[in-house]
Amino acid sequence: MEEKKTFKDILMNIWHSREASLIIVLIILSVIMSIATPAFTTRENLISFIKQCAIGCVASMGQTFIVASANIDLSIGEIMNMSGILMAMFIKSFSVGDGVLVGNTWWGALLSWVLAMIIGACLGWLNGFLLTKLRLPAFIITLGTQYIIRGIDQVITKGYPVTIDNGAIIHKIGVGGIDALGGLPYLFFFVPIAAVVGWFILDRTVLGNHIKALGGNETAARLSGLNTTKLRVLTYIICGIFAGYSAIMMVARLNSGSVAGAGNVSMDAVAATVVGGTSMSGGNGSVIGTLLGCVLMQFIKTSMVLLQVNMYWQTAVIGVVLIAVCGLDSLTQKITR
Amino acid sequence: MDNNMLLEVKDLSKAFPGVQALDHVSFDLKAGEIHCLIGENGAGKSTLIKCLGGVNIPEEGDIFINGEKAVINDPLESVQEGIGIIYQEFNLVPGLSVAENIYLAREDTKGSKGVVLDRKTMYEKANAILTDIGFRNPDSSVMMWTYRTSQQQMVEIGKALSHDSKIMVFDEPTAVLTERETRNLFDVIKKLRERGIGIIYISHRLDEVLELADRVTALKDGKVTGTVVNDGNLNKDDLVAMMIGRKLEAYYPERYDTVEPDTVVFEVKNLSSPTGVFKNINFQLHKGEILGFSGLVGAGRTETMKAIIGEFPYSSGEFYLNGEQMTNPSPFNWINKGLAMLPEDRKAEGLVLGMSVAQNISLPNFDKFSKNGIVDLKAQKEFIDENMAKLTVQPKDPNRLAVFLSGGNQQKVILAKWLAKNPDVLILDEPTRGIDVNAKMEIYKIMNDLTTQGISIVMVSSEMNELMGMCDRILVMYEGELVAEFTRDENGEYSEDEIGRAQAGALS
Ligand SMILES: Nc1ncnc2c1ncn2[C@@H]1O[C@H](COP(=O)(O)OP(=O)(O)OP(=O)(O)O)[C@@H](O)[C@H]1O
Ligand SMILES: [Mg+2]
Repeated sequence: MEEKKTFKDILMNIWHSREASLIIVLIILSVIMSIATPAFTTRENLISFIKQCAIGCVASMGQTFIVASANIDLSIGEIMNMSGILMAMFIKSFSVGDGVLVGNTWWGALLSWVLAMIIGACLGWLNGFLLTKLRLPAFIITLGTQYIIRGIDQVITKGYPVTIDNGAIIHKIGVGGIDALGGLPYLFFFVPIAAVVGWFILDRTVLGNHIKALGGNETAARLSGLNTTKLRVLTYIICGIFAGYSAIMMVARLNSGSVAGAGNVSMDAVAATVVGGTSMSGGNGSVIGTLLGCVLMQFIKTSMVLLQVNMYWQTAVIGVVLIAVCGLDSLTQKITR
Repeated sequence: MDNNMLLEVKDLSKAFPGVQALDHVSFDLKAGEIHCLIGENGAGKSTLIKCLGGVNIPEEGDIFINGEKAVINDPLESVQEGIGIIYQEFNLVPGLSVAENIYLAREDTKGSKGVVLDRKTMYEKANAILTDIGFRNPDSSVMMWTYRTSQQQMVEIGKALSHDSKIMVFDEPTAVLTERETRNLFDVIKKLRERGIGIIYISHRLDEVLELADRVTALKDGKVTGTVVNDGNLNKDDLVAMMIGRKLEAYYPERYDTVEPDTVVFEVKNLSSPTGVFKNINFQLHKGEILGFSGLVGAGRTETMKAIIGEFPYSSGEFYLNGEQMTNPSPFNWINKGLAMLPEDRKAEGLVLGMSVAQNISLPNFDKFSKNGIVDLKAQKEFIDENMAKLTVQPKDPNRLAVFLSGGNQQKVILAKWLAKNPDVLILDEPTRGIDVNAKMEIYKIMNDLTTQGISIVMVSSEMNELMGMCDRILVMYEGELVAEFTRDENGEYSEDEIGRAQAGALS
């Protein structure tokens, strides 16, 4: 009797933990895929999977902070683009004697990374500042800044990508990998670093707790003595830094900064966040869940390519997954009334 | 089957993860009877009601109405069985008219198509119903949000009557009412009883129970501990014994003499609102003092307290804490200086409902178990356990979401959060609303202890007994103004009459 109950409890815990459920789903899907097609287990597939997935994963982590505070950031993609463009310009435009570009020196490369994250932080601050000053919904503010940033990008670049010479360090990072580990792409290592930092902030720090409380009930948080204005601005700065960080990865991968580089990442990030178990009405948030949510989405896309499903269906399937995961969650909650 | 019974509940059981909310509960109700349900916070009273209302679905047991088995799987079926429930949170749509609220989903229409609303008929019918329950000159065409809480409650009652309910349930209806509104409600309830309606009435206020009940049933930990007939010999102590399984020695602890009349900790000068909700408020709070704010609901007490912490607009006013002026009041600034407020509305302002009990208690207290912004989980757990135990929060599960706690336990969580903070000045707005006797005693004791540590308390309450039992001084507000100040007489008593007159603005 006791034994049985604990086993059931374990099952219930897995069912209730979004992270655990996602891991199980991913394992099951992997098994199915490796049986279904030999192409799945190849090294090339794995490498290309990681490269496709990595950037979105990190960008979504920033969105997780925003969603946990019961807001949304529609401008993540544009922040990435602007950070990427300015970073690429920085790498290209300065040379250190003898015509060697800054981008070809280690310190110059690092400096350009820091620059990308600072630009991200500044743009995040701008979102947060406008939001708290004008008291408008985040949807409106970030929709607006999204257009503004894109417009400025277009003015700066005249619409052309800022391409970096092949010799630059950032380029090597984008294409290379560690041979000893079967060619594991350098880009891969960006993800665990971001995930650990993000998880730590949201789960283990006072700031993270305050962000979640802000999302759960802003009035109660304010009356508990939290500086809610400052907190809101901080969440956007954090999101901006994650966007800047993923811009580094994006520039590495595309070898350029451009107006369109990040694509539809803002909304994809919302989807990954929600699939990862963070509620749109705020109050909770899981960076690891988001990471897994993002991996699941990309996994399904890649699988469809391998199974030679019409590529136009891929987008539709993402929507189905999003609604299915969240719908299942809300339906099972209703049953326990 | 006893055909005399309007409602019979047999062996009802309902479990939530981690709690057996109802454990084989049997209960019955006759026509024309008021049957009161009492029990500590979390005893299962509301759950029983929600099973009747189709909000919760019991796992075991049967419900019989007029001797026939009833299956209630959703709120609509409950209404069809003739059960009308006035929940503590009203289910009204603010942007519709009063009549449209009463007839929601059963609107009168012009012609036979059922498309165009026939507002005139609805207004007339609604007005008739409201008049019937003692509402003077009702105008049911106005928007719902223009009604006061007590009026909204009347609308809920009217709604239940319009459904032809034979069974009416009230879950802590007086928690949101003033004394006078309470009298009004009692008249209505007694009138309903005369008409043969069976009434289930839940309250933590034992005086009310003794006044209204024909029979009383007590619940404890989901089980019925007894049902007694109120034959006139019943007293409060009997009820308490049924509820908590033992006797309480006293309802209020003896107030220690902790006031230092020469030390003013907190002072408010000339506080006025631009709209006149409060006018020219001046008061001083001494060290170790409990200062009561009495008055009718709507007298402006809550607004005054909110203005003090910077959450309500004011046109003039000065605040001094420990002699230092606060020019820029906000909860954040105040809490850093040592003043905290427990808000009146626990769900909207007090709790983050989607977070756990532990997280809620932690909220203003992170400095106690974190270093450089990083939370020490072990220290946090110890801190939470200690503070939950102090206020006997039930169930003892720190990870339970606040939304799943019973009303009284939610209040305890908010209190635990502030008591742990140890500020110099604590403003408590209705701290014991919806809390069971036992827990009230705990809270009074804690307030008492806090004052021995030199903490000063402002206590806003609509329960006069509690103010007279606990406060060293009572200020009375009437229509936004402080109209009187009372202290204990040589016997240590307050004059209840005088305070009552002051509340009604009848003091010369
Ligand atoms: N939806 C829910 N999910 C989980 N637990 C619940 C839920 N509703 C109630 N409970 C639990 O069931 C128990 C009984 O709660 P209930 O609300 O019936 O108490 P109550 O007697 O009405 O108390 P109070 O006087 O504080 O209102 C409590 O322990 C509560 O935490
Ligand atoms: Mg209740």
